[in-house]
Amino acid sequence: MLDRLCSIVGPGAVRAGDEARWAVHGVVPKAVVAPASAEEAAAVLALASREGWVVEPAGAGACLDAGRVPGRVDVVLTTERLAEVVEYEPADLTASVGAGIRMAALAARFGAHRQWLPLDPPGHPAATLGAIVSTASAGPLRLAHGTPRDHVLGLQLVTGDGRILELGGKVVKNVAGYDLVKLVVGSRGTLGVVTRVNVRLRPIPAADVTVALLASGPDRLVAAFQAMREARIEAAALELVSPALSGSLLGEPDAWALLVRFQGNAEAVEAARSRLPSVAQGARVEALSPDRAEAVWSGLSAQEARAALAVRLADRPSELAGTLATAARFFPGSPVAAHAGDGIVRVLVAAPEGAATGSCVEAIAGARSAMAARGGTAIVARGPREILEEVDPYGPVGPALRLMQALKKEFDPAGILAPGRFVV
Amino acid sequence: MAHNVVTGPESDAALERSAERVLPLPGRLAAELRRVVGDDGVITDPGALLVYESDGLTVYRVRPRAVVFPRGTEQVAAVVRLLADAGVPFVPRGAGTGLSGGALALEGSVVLSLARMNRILSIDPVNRRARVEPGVVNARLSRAAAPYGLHYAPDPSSQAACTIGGNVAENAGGPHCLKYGATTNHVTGLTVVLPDGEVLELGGAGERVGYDLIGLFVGSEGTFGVATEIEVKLLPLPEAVETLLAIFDQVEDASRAVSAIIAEGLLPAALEMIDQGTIRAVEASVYAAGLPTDAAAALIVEFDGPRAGLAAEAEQARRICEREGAREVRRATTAAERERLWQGRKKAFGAMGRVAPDLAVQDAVVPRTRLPEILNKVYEIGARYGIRVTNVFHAGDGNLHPNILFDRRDADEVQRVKRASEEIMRACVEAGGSITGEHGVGLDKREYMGLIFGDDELEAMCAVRRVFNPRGLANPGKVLPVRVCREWVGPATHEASAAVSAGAGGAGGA
Repeated sequence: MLDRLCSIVGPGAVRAGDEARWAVHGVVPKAVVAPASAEEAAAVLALASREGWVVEPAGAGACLDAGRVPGRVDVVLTTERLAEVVEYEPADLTASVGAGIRMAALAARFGAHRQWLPLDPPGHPAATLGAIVSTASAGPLRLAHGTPRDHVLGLQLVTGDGRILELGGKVVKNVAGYDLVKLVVGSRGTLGVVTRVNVRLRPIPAADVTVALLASGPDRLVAAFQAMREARIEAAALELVSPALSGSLLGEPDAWALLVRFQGNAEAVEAARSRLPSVAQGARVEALSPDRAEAVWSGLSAQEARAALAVRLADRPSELAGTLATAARFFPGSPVAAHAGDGIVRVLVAAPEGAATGSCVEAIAGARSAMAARGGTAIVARGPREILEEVDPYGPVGPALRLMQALKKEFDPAGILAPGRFVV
Repeated sequence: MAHNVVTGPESDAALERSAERVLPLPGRLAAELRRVVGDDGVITDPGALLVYESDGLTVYRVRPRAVVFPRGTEQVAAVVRLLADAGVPFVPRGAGTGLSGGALALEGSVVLSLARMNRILSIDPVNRRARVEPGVVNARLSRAAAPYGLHYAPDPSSQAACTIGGNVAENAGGPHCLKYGATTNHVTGLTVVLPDGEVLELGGAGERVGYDLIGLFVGSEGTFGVATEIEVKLLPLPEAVETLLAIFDQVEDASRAVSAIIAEGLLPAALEMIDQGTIRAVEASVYAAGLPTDAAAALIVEFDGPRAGLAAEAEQARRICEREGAREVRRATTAAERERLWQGRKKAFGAMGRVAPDLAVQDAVVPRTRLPEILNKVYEIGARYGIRVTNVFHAGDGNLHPNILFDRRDADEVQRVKRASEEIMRACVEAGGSITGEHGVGLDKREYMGLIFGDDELEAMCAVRRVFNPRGLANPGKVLPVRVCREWVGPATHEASAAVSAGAGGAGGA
């Protein structure tokens, strides 16, 4: 296997001896390969399809503890060498970049032109764009800016059988043909390997201000969030965090915090900020300095990425209090952070071991049925093998699963791409 | 059996109406359909079917075999099952305002009209969502949401007539999608009837699990099935709106102003351009908006959002326009003034009706920085073919709408229109753009798909369609070039096959 892979990508691109670092839920691959082009990736996948080798697509390797536990992994294919900015036209606010580029590198490149890709999922500076697109990951800024599906104009996909497809386009508006870009975004490497991504950019807002509302319990802050919405005080991000996070991020270990981020022109941001006390419901209002705000947001992203087990409970924003109560009931004492405006609560569990594993499994199952009873969902974003062997991270898909399975077959006829890792 | 003739620039035939005879529905199908939707829910009378022989792109005309008007998801599913059992294809239709021939009943299709499914099912102001039936007219949803201080952002120019269902099928845009995105960015849930009659719920509360089938379905132009309920986002009505109208003596100056506004980090809600031909048509019509007819182009620049700071953004845009050579910049602060500034843009298509009997509203996209050269190219192509082309378009998105004026009774002119359109498409694609930004591929552009996609991509699209629509019964003959999808099964009945061949023969020999 190694010889045949070397003949495609060259010996330097087969990472011998580094396999353990790329283990998928502890399943160590036989080979790790880093193609330097879509053509090389296509040759690797075509070979794998012929030989029936199981391939796990990866970026920097940060998402390998997401998804179901694989039965087998033969090859990890990383896009980390596909990391160049292929095209960037600042005046068009569009760019075409290799999937393996890290978000920090993109931020530096676009930031030089006062532009950005407003995506801030957990661990984002070190994450590759390809991984974020493949997992459809987003962070607090999703409230104002959306999720990867809203930013990706086109992409290059190498299918399981080694076809190189150029999907979508490079212009900001395009309805030519079926939107296969949407199909690929969030498909977690089960349809192909994303090798290049065309994105739309936004101007960096002139003003960017974060204010913390602090209270002893979540109820007052949920009420403040709802009052803000009613008063049409529109934020770019609205994160509700429990005392454990409030302590590490703000030095307020006894308080819940609602982190309110405003972006826009300076006048509009100041106007919104000045109205906050009127809807704060008695919560303490504390403006953060730019440096501190930056530290809070990057700290939240980093802490969320570090949690060994991350469970996402989601329902409508109006049900936020109920979703928080479900989190507290099934995961008492665990830190939580909520995208308040999107109704998504994340429970971050440090390192469940031994007996705690079993109780986590029960908690996930319990939270899932409690959420499902109200029409919501509970998804395990990331977790240790012992837990994910016992509980499905995704939960039921419903009758649409048949279509998803049929779609996968069209892109990965040999079924070699991350089989059994996602819902298909 | 010379019915089902596709007339239009696509065929080499003269542009004439489809023949008088309409292929009847097989066996007892009409009666069975009436049992589901009621006696008044099925049209088979050839005269009454005339209304449904084209959409907003009137050069194509095909009379459907029948039109069925279901009410509710269950009736749609029952109708689709009956049609599937009989092997009769169908084409879903909203208001018929589409501009790509997407609602044409090809290959012996029955029209599935969603006109009677026009209920707004719920408006949830707290979560800022609405759930609607597909036949709800776009503008009506925003009116219904207004008492809650909300609106539905996608606003195609036809929003007074077009339906949310049609918007979903086409992934419709509009002037304000520069800031707010197109339909696909606003759909959060769908109830879908697949071409075999299966009902599927997609999205809703909670997070989606699995592939983004909503994103895949939006823009599938009726070829994956029928959306029977649609959940969309509602956005807060902006606190304030600032609108500028800048008048230019040179089209290039106006184009440069567009690029400069984007490049300087302003994010207008809309950034629209109308050219001299359009200005003159508008000013000569009842819609006259007081624009100088010697101007080369006018730009509408609109900002919306919180009141604070909005005037400063508008002022910055005004300075950019003046710097780039605007002769005059008008500013609206009241709703009435704003309406007046928009008049020239919104009534452009109507005003064009005075100028020539027929109007082909083209649709293509280029990177914004390529606008000046592409506009010159479009005028040059028009001149070379001796046809009149005016431009009204979403400049901020680089989304061109060259309007080609012609008379479809003039067969030679129709041919020149066809060739000029294709050259315009090629020029936009060569500039790194797309063959359609918001009108869809439909019938009109399916043969242009090869300009932007290779065979592998087209075959992948075909494979995806086959997953949803394995028998080819949902809106046959659209989106993908005929040469792709060779394995396409197509309509199964003897009658339908006969209809297709008769149609092809008729088109070739007429």
